[in-house]
Amino acid sequence: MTEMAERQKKNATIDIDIGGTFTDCFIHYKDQSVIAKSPTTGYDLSVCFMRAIEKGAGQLGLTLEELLQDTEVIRYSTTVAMNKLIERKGPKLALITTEGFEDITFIGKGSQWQDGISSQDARNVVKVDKPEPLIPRKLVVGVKERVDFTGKVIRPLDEEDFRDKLQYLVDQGVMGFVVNLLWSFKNPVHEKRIKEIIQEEYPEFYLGSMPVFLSHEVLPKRFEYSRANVTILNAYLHQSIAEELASIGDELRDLGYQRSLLMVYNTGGMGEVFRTAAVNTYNGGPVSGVIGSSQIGKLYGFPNVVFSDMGGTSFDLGLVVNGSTRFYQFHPVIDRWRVDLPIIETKSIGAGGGSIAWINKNLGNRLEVGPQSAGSYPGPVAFDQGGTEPTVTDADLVLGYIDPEYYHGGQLRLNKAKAEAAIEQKIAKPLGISVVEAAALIKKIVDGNMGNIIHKETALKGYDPKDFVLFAMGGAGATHACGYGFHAGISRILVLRQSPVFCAFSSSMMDIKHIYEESRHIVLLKPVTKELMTDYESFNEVVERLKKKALRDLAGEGFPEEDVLFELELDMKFGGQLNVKRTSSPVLALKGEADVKAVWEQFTKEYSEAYSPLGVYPEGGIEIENFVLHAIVPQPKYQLQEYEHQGSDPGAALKGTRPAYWEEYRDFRDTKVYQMEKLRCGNIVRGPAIIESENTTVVLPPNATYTVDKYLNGFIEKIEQPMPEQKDAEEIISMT
Amino acid sequence: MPFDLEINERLKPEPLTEFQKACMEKLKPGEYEIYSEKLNNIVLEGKEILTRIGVSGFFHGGDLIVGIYTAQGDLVTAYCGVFLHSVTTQIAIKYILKHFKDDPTVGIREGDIFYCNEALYGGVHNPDQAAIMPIFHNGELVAWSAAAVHQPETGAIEPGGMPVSARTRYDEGLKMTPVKIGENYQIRNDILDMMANMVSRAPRMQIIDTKARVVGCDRIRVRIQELIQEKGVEVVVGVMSKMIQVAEEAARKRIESWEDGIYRSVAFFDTIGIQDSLIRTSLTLIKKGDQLIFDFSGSSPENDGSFNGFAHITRAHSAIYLFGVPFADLPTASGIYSNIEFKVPQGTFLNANWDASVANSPVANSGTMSVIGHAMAKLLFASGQYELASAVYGTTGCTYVVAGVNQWGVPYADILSNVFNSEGGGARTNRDGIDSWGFPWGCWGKGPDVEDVENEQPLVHLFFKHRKNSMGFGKYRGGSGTTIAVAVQSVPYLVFQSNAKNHKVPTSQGLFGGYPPSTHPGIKILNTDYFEKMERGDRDLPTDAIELVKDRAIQGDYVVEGSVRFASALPKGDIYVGMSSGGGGYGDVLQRDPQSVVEDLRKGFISEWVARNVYKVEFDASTWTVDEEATLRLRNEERQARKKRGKRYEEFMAEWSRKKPPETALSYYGEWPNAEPNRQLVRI
Repeated sequence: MTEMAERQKKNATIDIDIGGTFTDCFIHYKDQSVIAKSPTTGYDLSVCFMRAIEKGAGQLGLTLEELLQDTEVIRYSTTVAMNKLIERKGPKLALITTEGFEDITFIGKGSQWQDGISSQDARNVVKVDKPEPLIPRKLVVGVKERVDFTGKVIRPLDEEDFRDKLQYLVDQGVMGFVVNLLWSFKNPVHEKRIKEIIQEEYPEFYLGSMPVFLSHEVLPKRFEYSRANVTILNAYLHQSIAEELASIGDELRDLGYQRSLLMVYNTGGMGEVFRTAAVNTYNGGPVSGVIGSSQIGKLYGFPNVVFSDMGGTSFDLGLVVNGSTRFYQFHPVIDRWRVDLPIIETKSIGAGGGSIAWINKNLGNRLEVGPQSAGSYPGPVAFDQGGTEPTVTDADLVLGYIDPEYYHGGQLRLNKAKAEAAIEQKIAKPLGISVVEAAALIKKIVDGNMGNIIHKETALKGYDPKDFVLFAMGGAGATHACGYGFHAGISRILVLRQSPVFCAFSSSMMDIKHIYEESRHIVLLKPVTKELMTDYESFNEVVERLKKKALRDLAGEGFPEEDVLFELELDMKFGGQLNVKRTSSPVLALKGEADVKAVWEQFTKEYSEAYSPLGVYPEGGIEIENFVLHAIVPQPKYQLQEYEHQGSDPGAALKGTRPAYWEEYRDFRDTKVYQMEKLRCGNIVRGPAIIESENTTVVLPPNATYTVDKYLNGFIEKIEQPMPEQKDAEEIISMT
Repeated sequence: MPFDLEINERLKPEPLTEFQKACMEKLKPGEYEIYSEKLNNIVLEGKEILTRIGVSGFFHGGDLIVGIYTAQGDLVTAYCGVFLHSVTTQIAIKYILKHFKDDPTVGIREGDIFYCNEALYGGVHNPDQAAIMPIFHNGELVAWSAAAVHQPETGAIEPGGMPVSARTRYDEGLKMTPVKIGENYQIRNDILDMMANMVSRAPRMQIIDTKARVVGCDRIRVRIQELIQEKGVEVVVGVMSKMIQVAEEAARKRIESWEDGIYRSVAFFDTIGIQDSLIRTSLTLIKKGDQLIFDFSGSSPENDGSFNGFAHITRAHSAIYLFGVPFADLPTASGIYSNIEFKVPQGTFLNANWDASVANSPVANSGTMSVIGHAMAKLLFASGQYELASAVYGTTGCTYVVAGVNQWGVPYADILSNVFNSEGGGARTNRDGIDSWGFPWGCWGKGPDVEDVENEQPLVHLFFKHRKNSMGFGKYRGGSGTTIAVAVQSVPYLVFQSNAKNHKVPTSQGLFGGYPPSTHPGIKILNTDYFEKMERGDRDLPTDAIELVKDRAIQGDYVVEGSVRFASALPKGDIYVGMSSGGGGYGDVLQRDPQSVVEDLRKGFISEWVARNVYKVEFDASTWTVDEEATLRLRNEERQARKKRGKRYEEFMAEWSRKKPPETALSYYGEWPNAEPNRQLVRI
């Protein structure tokens, strides 16, 4: 590390997010920052990776090589892993289980068919199906061995039998092995021995050498089904991601880049690519957006944030709670597979500018919007590319929110007459309402759908949406944010300047972080007698072991112990409960009764807040099931530039007026239109108003104000009617 | 008779009040669409909260419901766990309204918490316990919330809450009529103590799970009141009423679009708990215009075991199919029942006298599920709804109860939820049924991991896997069931009891020539050398139930008996085997793709014998390749043989009508063949 610390600091940082359609790039160089977008090249991701950087370098007046040679760090998030999985393009793998339990991944806790699909789709029990397995049944073998719940070997491993089964698997042409034995996380002796046998039979110098993934190494936690899924996913994604990264890494080095390539994890941290488990890179982009939201939230002093991203076809969201992204999915699913990983939750529904409005005749002519999307081609009717189904964008156009001449800065002229005709024919006539009423209804319903999912995602976790600030990202986010935010019960919304590339931008604000987990059943408080635990060592040794692993990995990345911060979380429950509540531990080690009590009290507090004090039952005992240790190395963060206050009057940014429809008046009003780039710090725009920029349009209803803060971001507030005529700008700014 | 049984008839929505009508009229465009979703989200939230707090395996299994009801007690929406609870809980609310609203000793006030588990007041059987809370706005009752979950212990004569040896209602344990257990949002500790005392095999479980139900209800109450605060009471009441109306109209239109006709089905099972007997469920489904009539005349008479039910329980069982298949896209509201009639004759086992034991009423109603699914599949197929027509899923109800003191020193009674949650799905008209599909009464639940069960119960699993030949064969086969075996470890003994059946006849049916699923026996092995064999590393330990009984590598006393079994204590080292049923098959076995047959064989779903003798497929077992030519020949031979075996209808009927099961199998069947009552029951 001393070597690293002493080496010369370079001038640029680069953040890349490779999405399904576009590769976004955010570059910070000296005191400038630029944004670049380039179409994703699915055939070879290193192409779009380099193109996006090159485009950004051009804006800075540099060549690709000049920029890379002066770059300190490249941070990278991707959805590549997701695509590999969806396309089922992984290697041929074998699964080795305990004999008698070969079907565990196929039984999948029974209703495996509902994992990864919406609850609505899961309702019709004759239409659902289980997912196509990543490892077929014929490539699963059971070995004769058994460990019990205490970790004791109750049946020794039958090595000879295993060697026969290994031969069978090799004859089938497998390219790698996943080993998932019962209770291996308690005692991995048999999993380790199996790996040794495979390596004895197929040593590394043979062409037949194949990777072996042991479940207790990938995820040392109880629950064999989810542990199997995590280990299989990791093995399945490992090879292709390793290849992608190798080609990107080679190219970067050829171009003169010598520093780290960090990958964003779905667990909310980042690490060097060569110390990254493939399964952790799944869904890195949106998770990066959540982390970015937490950093921006900290800057603003917002402890609770809903990150929302409304694009063309989908609406993604994630939460920051009490300033922390320590907020995980209860039953996280990757693709169709339940995984017991602390991945940061992001939700996605089919709601975007391209979502199609249609009439559900089965439900009494109920108007629905989505989940089908017109996509980018043919796209909304107004694009005039052959689309015939009315979409949200068409409704926005009819309602006057979007200027047909200034869509994407005028790059795409919209055909309003066609949009009106489509809404008339497909929606208004069948419902017996006017075109404008139909358009308003489309907006109201799509906003309602998005608002409901926000409400669900906050309320289901036990939090009140009213306590959150909404961050509006994505091309359509600012247009609909007041609609879906206010519907969800959120009255404060932040629109950022960086919203078009927010996920890439966000990785510029992330820390190096690894998460280590281990299952250990500890009775903290005995049932009935309420005796407190006294064997502190059983607790401390787990934390110590996890710490050691963390320090080993971070030392490998060049960070000494003194740079590392540790945070401990515990999965806890009242005695006998099925589900655990993740609780932040107030201590890293137990030294006496006071520490045990502190853990107990913290659990009771978090449990009561999330569920209800009515459910608290210490008489049943309190138990710890899992330890989750976060090892964090804080990184220097990109700082937003600050601007001087220039008064509340936004008049200088006014570019004109146009009629726009407002639900509150049930009619059109001539509405002021502002140019976002011309708004200055301190300006207050009062709704109804429209604020446009090249990449997005803010729609501000009559009951809201938009205040430009010192970072030139817009802060929207819902105000109760009647609207106060004059509100002190200083007062609003101080709130932001 | 001290009961108000009339209340059980009130399944359909009550007439709308003037206020409800006015609220519906005032709804603005979009409000119904948006706030109906919000109500759905609210019940989902209540359900999530409930399951995160609860303890028992049925929270895993999803044998639960969380619902919102109108001020009059009609179901507005529910989160799907087990739909039958959503329908039945209405009745408890209607009972409270009828009897306690104006009773000054009880009353209905803000902050009240009601609780019940009595089948006679709308319940299903007494393990199903429900918390119910009124929701007020400005002193007016505007709605109700309810949360019901199955409790695997009731303090009955056997552990597990579903005593198979019960003969009357007096053998069933805790039976609470709708009673107020809390006021001012506080649960009364004296009542919790009473419940723990009466359910003292698992008192901790009873208390936590009671709290979980109340918390689930209360979360709904809070959210509804918030919504009223925000949008006004008219919007909330209007949307609730409209959800019922929309369900009613949509269901009526859909029924109207189906093919008129009479569709019949029968199903059988083989026990009344205390002894084996053939029992028949008979359904005549009449579809005329916009009406559906389910007529259960011809079902076996009531018995003095525990496999009985009441009419409202049979009606409730229709909800599982109706909300889960043909009306799955409609609001889960009581309105769908407006155009559906039921005839469940008094005196049949589906509508027994009030003093009957109904401890196993859901298992007894597995026949109801089978005949409804089967007859409806015919109706839907005839109406061109091929995608919705499917064979019936496994309906064994494989509840294996385990009770005792666990390795952590805590008394408990629970079930083996993994096998319980994995019966096979029925074959579809275009593809196979889903393997290890779920718990038929509420398939959205999840089985636990083996490591989860072994962490909480002192058991070692020998195996948990798909059960060979468990499904109905056919052009498309039913989904596979599963099998499990556990050995008692680390405690002196555990008590096991089984409510499973289908050891002599399967209940589920195949569809259009598809086979029904297989039967399965009860197996246990006493005085075994299992742990010694394990320690020695013996190679011949069985890896599934068939090997277990065929090879008998484990030394011990093998007991192969009926699937339904009374409670008995098994000492350390003894082994108990459980099995779940596969789903019914669809279409002719000779039309199944021969390659799929070989795949099934390779995956362990079927035996070689079935591949060759049922499916008539010839293949090379070393390369897994089908011998197309030989298969074609075998299948053609079988078709010729079928023609030879064929008879004219009259001839067949003449022969068939002379057949009769042995008298020993008919002890509780009723008079052969039409199942009229033929014995006088005296319940003491």
